[in-house]
Formats: sequence, structure tokens, C-alpha cells
Amino acid sequence: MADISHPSAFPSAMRKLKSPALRRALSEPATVFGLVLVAIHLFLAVFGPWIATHDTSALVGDPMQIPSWDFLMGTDQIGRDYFSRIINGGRIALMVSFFGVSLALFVGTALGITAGYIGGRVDEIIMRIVDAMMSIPELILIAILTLALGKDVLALIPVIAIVYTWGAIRVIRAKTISLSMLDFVRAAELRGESRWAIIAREIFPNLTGILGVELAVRISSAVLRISALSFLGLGISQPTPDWGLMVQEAMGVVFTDPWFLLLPALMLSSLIVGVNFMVDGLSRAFGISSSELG
Amino acid sequence: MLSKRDFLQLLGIGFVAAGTTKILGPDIAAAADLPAWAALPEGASPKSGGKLVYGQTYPNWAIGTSGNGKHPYYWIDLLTRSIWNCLIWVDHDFKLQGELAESWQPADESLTVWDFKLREGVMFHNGREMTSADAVASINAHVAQKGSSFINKWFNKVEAQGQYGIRFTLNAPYAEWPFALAEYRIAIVPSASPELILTDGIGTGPFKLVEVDNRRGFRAVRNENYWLKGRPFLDELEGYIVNSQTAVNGFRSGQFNAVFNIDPTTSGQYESTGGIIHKSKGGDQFLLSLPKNLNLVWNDPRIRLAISLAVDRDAINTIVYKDPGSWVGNDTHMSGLNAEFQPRAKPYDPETAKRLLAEAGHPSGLNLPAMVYCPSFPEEPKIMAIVAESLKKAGINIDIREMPCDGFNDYVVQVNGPIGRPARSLVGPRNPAINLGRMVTNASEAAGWKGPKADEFASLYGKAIAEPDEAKRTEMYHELQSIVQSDTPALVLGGRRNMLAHAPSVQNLRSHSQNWSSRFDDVWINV
Amino acid sequence: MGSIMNMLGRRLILSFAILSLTSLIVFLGTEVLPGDAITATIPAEELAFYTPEQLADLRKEYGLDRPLPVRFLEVWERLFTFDFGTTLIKKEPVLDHIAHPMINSGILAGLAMLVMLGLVLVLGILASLKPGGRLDTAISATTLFTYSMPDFVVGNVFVVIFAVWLGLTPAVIFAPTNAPKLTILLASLLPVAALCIHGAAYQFRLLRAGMVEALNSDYVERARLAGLPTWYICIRHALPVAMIPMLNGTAQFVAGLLSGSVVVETVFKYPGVGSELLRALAQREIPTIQAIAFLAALAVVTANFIADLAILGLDPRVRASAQHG
Repeated sequence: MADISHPSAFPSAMRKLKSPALRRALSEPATVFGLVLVAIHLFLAVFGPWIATHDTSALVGDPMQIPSWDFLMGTDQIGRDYFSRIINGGRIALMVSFFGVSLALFVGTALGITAGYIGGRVDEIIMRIVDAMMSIPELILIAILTLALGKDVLALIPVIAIVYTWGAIRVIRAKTISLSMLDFVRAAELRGESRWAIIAREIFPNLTGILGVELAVRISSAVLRISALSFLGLGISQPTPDWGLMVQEAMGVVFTDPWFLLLPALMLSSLIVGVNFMVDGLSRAFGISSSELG
Repeated sequence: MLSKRDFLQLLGIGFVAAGTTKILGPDIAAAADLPAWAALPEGASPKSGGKLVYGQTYPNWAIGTSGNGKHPYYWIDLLTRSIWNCLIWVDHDFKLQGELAESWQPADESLTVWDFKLREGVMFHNGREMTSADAVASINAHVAQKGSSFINKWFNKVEAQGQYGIRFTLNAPYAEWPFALAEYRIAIVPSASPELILTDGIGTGPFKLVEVDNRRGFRAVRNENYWLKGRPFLDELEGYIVNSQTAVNGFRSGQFNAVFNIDPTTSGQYESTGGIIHKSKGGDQFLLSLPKNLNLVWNDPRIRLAISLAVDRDAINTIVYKDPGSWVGNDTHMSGLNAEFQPRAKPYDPETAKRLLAEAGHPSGLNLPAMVYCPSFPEEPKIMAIVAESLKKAGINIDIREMPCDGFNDYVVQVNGPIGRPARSLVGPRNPAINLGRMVTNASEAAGWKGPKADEFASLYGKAIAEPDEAKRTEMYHELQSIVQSDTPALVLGGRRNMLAHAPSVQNLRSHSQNWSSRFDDVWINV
Repeated sequence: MGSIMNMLGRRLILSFAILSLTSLIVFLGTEVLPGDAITATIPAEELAFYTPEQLADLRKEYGLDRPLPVRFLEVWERLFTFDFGTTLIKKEPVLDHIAHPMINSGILAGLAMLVMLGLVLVLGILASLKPGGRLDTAISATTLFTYSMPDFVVGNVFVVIFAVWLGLTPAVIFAPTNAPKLTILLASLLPVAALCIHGAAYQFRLLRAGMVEALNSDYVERARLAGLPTWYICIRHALPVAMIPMLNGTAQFVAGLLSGSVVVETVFKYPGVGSELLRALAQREIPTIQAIAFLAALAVVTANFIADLAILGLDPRVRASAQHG
């Protein structure tokens, strides 16, 4: 079994390999570290409201208190419980990123497979549109889209989706092209299977690994992007608890209360670091080359 | 970056030069000619020289519409008295003082004709003497360019009366006309053709403009021929538009030795590096307009009163301004620094608020339409969060939404014009004639206020400003506030004050309740 | 040689087509969507403030009565002739508003690109000398950490450390928009550093992966057996090949740089086009937004074209296929 160096070549064999790969992944401390960080963030994103000790927007005490039993991380500049806000500060950004990126990957996969497998004129047209979209700097594209779609948290979902679709098309197309040259796809073609059947049975199952990686990496990058947008006044606005906004607020008191900045920055940073360690480790273990990623 | 001058000063050369050439003698001799309001605090020993570099977190709201920063309307911030002067100045105690006007009085009891006597020997930066012709041309230009609605509404004509006199003729009696001439936009500039006047950055002010990029900042140098003899003390003045964080960074790194309109919640960032904070008694206030021309829940005055009583304004003063127990808004445009201010009997009364809501058919609370604001002042998001939270406690849910400031007004009046969306507007602290008049003249702030109370208000207001007797006028101003408070056409949060921070070496720089009435000609720097 | 010219010509035509498509996208985003999305952008509780006539007026205001292709052709012609029209409110020429900020941002982005390339090359080579080694781990972890911090945080922390604590640079850039370009260049040093620290991580990963792959290839192995020193092999044999994936990503890289500079400019109060863009956005100054977006895309497409030339120079296979194809 160990001599199968390209598991992706044999989808049925790959399924069996999954658990050894997982074992391989779990033997690396960096991967485990990443997995733990991601697990904590997922847990907080789902159960945050139940973990919070106070309403995130309620004024519960004097401003800028130091940590105590009542307020585990003290209070913020207007007397809201900082712990509750920190715990819930990633939910909106993660939610927006998750739905936005999922939408982007859905569209990106459809168009990427079409471009990569059908090829020809269709491929040419799709890829030129991709080139054009990707030559507009992300932030300017987002700016134009917020102009068109309005400045609202829910409007951020299509914005994120539109911004991340093009990179996804590229990655999926490249992977589809390399898959379609492999023997098992050729064999299916010789068997006379329809294009749809080949896409559904042979190509798509082999894209799941890369899709998982894309989802994780793009979500973490979208969270960063959203924090920059909030900083510029285009993203999430007050009084929603949001790490990007909290970091920005905390910047105002950084000289006297640096811990105030440290907490949300650490939360943001640990999410990004966690996702990247996890993805690196898992893709190594599952044999996805990092040069395939967009 | 180090200029040659800074470098010399570091070496101590500049220090010696400043110390020998411009020592106190001439200043004190000249002080006898100064108007009383220009006197320095007792025991002051001003020094000449030095440079004030200030950061400003509150840019001129009109910047976006033009790139010409030499025009006072589009100056980087509202502190136009660095370069220009007006006829009148409102001092820190809210009293009128003659700036370029030496004296003024109504010609008769009708209060429609006003005579102003200009100071003699005032020179413009271009070396020309200011005369009545310049004042007339300036005022006409301000009227033509719609500089201030407080003027246009009353203005009929202005004429020169000899070389140093001008006479205003108004179209209705107005007892407090001179106050309107203190507005920061109503600068006196050299006369010129209508398309050129006001565009060259030349005024009579303490500093001469060297360079301005109105989206970023300006540099100016001492006006050696300033009409207040012996002033200004500073050699140079610079100002830059910054955000709250950049202001702190610039101050702590020593680039700024003053910051106007600091975010009160960041005062510790200045104090912990030796900075001194100065608070004024008031500042621009936030008025929440409640459009009543549409079918919205607050058309019932009981609900409007309930909303007002449910706002814990003292919490704003305590949390943001660290001034518990100081004055709070009374739902008129008046602020606590007006002598005529009449507070509500019990401004924060959530129990009564709940009872009123129940009476109006909302015993379990209600949802209000969203309200928009743009954070003109850096602390505003925090204030709005406090407002929304205290309303929530009384069962009133409202989404107070932040919007970008550029283009904000257009957004507000884009629909339901001229009243627009429910939005907060800024109320600059002024005299009662202007303050209370806004409920009559400003459609978006009155927001469709109708009915017997509104009519009563409008007619009493007309009488009040035509009343020559000050005591009687004050009485009417009190009654006007009572009428507004009984119907609550809008909410005024109140309690906001301007704050500035300066380095310990900067002397006599004070925050003015009217941010735009700040002066630079009495500020000095201890070397 | 002729076929190389042929290939260049094809690339140029392609770039032109891409830019045309870009201007179509910008046009659609700025002029068409708002009109169609008028009601969609109004939250339900706000519709109370609109009368049907107002909604109709709003649509008319966006000029939806004229046929789309005509309006697009006008915009296309304006953009491609660099005549960006006048601002909506004061009718001042757009070019006057954005020319200096554009140049200043160009200086910032250009310098950042050079510094970042240098930084990435050095780090990439160092890390790939001993993959998995201590140096590699340290560099990889550091770049990942700096990447994980939002760029405005990195920028602000830089200001706090280098300007406020150490006093090495100004904390706030005072230079006016039309300042001498040397002044601008000096002012851009700290912003460039902040931009590079945050942005280098991704390019570093690409280069490192390419280097590791190249160093494991047969021809490098042959060179090693020939007794050539490691540093020589790295630079002469592995680097050119390893740079290709990085160069392929040039468009994304430059686009990302321009995005990042909008944020960093705000932190440092740099007199660039970022603040101009934000202001135009807030005021719906559509001609200004179109001009900035088009010029940014032009920069990206140009950089990509140059990168294509570089790949042609670096990769013997591409050169060969061009000559034979």
C-alpha cells in the first residue's frame, strides 16, 4: 500500500487510504496545532452566544475595567463585557465569509470544470473574463460592488462571493485539466460514458480535497479582507462585535492599554494561522501539491 | 522631518535668536491698544516664536465639494480665524465681541437697520487697508454664495457709510443680527469681482497662508502687520486633517503639539505622555430628527416623549466625557452653555417612558425605523451605542446605523425631501435666536412638525426676535423651549463638549464651545 | 524571432481585450447595477420614505432610459483615451483630482514591489537551502504570522514602534499631494515596509515551493554531481525555474499590492489615490471611480505583460515552443 505514491490517480484506492493519511497528518505537531485552533474557532462561532457571560451590546459596568470574575476580560471603552464581545467577534465575519466563499466555490467549480473539461471556445471565453476580473484590484472591485449592492452585512455575502469566484475557477480548471489527462478519465471516455457522468463520477470526486483546502484558505483570507473593509468603513459597522472593528477601536488606546489590542488581534491571527497550519498539514498528508493552490 | 529651523533650534541657535529679538517689551506696550477681550490671563508672560502644528479630527464638512482650499468655505477645517477675521467674534463665555467691527447698534427700535463701525488701520495680507468697500463686497459675496442661511433669511442690503462704516438693512426685525455675523464662513476679504472674491486665501487674520491642500493640511506664517498689535506670538501655524488614531500617533511622536477635537475616550493617550486636555462647556450636539410627514409610529407625541425620557443622557456624559452630572440636552437646539437654557424637569425617566408607551398602545415595547448618522466626531459611534442600549432597556428597539460622512446629507435627503430619512444632524452651539429658529426654518430638523404647538412656536418665535428688551426676550425664549418640550418634535442628546489636547509648552490654547470660533492669535509656546 | 514577435503581438491584443472587458465590468458595476438595484438596496423599513415618483426619478437620474451599449461605448472611449471627464458635483476635471495621488500611489506600489521581490528572493532561497530546517521553519512561521495580521494593524504597529517609540520616521505624513516626488519617495519608506511585511508571505510560499521542487529535480542533481557549489546551483539553476509560478501570479500579486496600499495609505495618511477612491465612493463620484479602477487594472495588465516577457526569458521550454509554434 505504501508504494502508491499518487493516490489521486485511483479514486477508489484513495478512499481506503484516507485514514492512514489522517494518521500521517496527526503525527505532525504543527497540523495538530492548526486543527486545534480551527476547532476552537469553529466551536466559538457556533456556541459563542451560549459561552458569552453578558449581552454583547449591553452596557454592564464602568468602562475600561481590568479583568475580574464578573468580567473575564474586563470591559471596553463604553462598559461592555469584553470577553463576550471577543468570543462573538468572529461570528459575523466568519458567517459572511463562509457563505460568500461557499457560493464562490460552487460557481467556481461549475465554471472551472466546464472550462477545464469542455475546453475550446468556452474555456477561452471563461478564462478571459477571469483575467479581466482578476486584473481589477480586489479592494476596488469590492468598493464598486458595495456601491452597487449597498453597505450592509448581508450585502457582503455576494460581494465576497463575486470577489473569490475567479481564483476558484482558475484552481478548479487547472486541476480538472490535469485530471482529464489521467488514465481513469481516459478509460471512462473509451467506455463511452457521457460527459456529465465523467464529470460527476470521475472528476468531481477528485476535486473534493482541493475544494476543502480552498474553502478553508479562502475563508481565512476573507475574514482578513473583511477586517480591512471594516477599517475603511466599507464592511461591518458599529455596534456589531467584530475583531476587525475591535482592533481598530483598541488602536486608539494602545499606548495605555495594549492588552485591549492584543486580544482581538490574537483571535484574528490564531484563526488565520490555525487554518494555514491545518491546510498545509492535511494537504501534505493527502498529497495535494501546494503549487496547485491559487 | 527636520527643517533647517528645527535643526538650528536643536542646536540652541534658534533659541537665542527668539529670546533676544522678540522679548516682551513691545508686546506689553502694545497691549494698551488691544480690545478687552484680547487680554491675556492674569500673570501670563507670553513668548514670541515657535510653531504650532495641530492635528484636526473634524474636517470641514464642505471639503468634498471643492478642491480650492483658499476659499474660507472649503478651508481644511472650520477654524478659519487662523487666516481670516469676521466682523464679530463669540467669546468663550458666549458674549459678542467686536473683531473687525469696533462697535455696532441698531439704528432704531424697528431692529431692521443695523450700523457697524469698522476698525481703522486693519491691513489685508496683500498690504491693502480694509475699508467699508471690502466689508460690503464680502457680505454681498457671502449672500450670493449662500455662505450662511442665518444671514440670507434676513438680509436685504448692505451699504458703505463713509470709509469705516457699513449699514445693514434687514427684511424683518431681528434683535440678534450681529451674532449671525460671527459665523466662521462670513470672513471679510479684499473686494474683487464676484467670480474671484474669496478665492485667493487673503484675509486680515494673524497668519498668512503659504500652502494649502484642503484634503490634507496647510502651512501659514506670522502676519507681521496683524491689526492686534504685538500678536500673534507664534511664528508659524500648520494644521493637518487626521483620524483619531493618527492624531494620537502624531502627538506622541512630537509631530503635533496640539490636537483639536480629540476622541474623549482617548484622552489618556495624550495625558500619559504629558499632554494637557482642555474641555469646553459645550460643543456641537446631536439632534435626532423624527420625520412626522409619513405614517410612522412616532407621529404620536407620547411616543416621542417616551423615546426622549428613555435615553440615559447622563450615561453619555459619564462614560464618554467623564463629566457625570453635567448638563444634558433638553430636546431643543439650546445647549447648557446658553444663559437661556431651560432643562427638562427629569430628563431620564424610564418608568414614565414605559407608562407613556403603554398608553400609546405599546405596552410591550416597539420597534422604530432605522436612524442613520455619520461619525463626524470620533466618539459618536460610542454615543450612539449608548443611546441604542438605553432605549432597549425601555423596550424601544432602534437600529442606529453608521454611514460614511462624505455624501451623508445627500443620502439623507435623497428621499422624502426636504425632510429626508430619520437621521441625526449636528447642532452647533449658538444663541437662542439661531438655535430656536431652526425648528421654524430647517425642514429636516423640524421634520414635518405641525399642529397648534408648532404654530404657537412659530408665531412666538417671530415675536421674540423682534423684541428689543432683552429680559422680555429671554422670557419668551424660555416659553419657546417649554412649547417644544411639550411636543418633542425631535430628540437632542446634549452634553457633548469639545476637547483638545496640547503639549505642556503650548500656552493659552483653549477649546471653544463653538469649535469654529477657536483663535490662534493669543497662543504662545514656552521655549 | 519573428514568432516571438508574433506571440508578443497576440499578448498585446489579449491585454487590450482584457482591459476592454475590465472597463465593461467597471461600467456594469458603477452605472447599471445601482439603477437596477435601487429597490433591492433599500432596506424594507426604509421603503416607507419613498414615493413611487421618487423611485422613478431615481432610476431616471442614473440615465437608465438610454440604451446600454451606447452608454458603455461612451465610457469605453473616455477611459481608453484617458479623458476621464469631470466630477459630478463641481465639474472639476477628474484627471486633476487623481493625477498626483495616482503618481504617488504608483511610487508606493512600485517601491513596494521592488522591495518585496528582493525580500521574497532572499527569504525563498534561504528557506529552500535546507527545507524543514530551523531557518526554513523560522522564516515560514514568521511570514505566516505577519500575514495573519490585518495590514492596518501591521501598519499601525509599525508607526507605534518606528515613529513614536524610536522616532526614526514621521508618524504622520505631512507632504501635500503635489509635493516633490523625492519627498514622496522618502515618505513612502515606512508604508512600503508595512506593505511588504504583510504581503510577502504569499509570494514567499510560492517561491519556496518552486525552489524545493526545482532543487529536487534531475538537472539540479546532475549539477550537484558535477561538483558545483550549492549557492551557485540555487541561483543559476533552481531560481529561474522556481520563479515561474511566482511570475505567473504577477497579476494577482500586483492587484493585491494595490489593494493593500489603499489600506496602508489610510494608516499613514499617505497622499495617494486610496483616500481619493474612498471619498469618490462615499460621494458616488462615478467618473472618478471608473478612472481609478481603469488605471489600476491598466497597471495590473501591464505588469502581467512584463511578467510574461520575463517568463519568456527565463523558461527555455516556453521559448522553444514559441520558436517552433
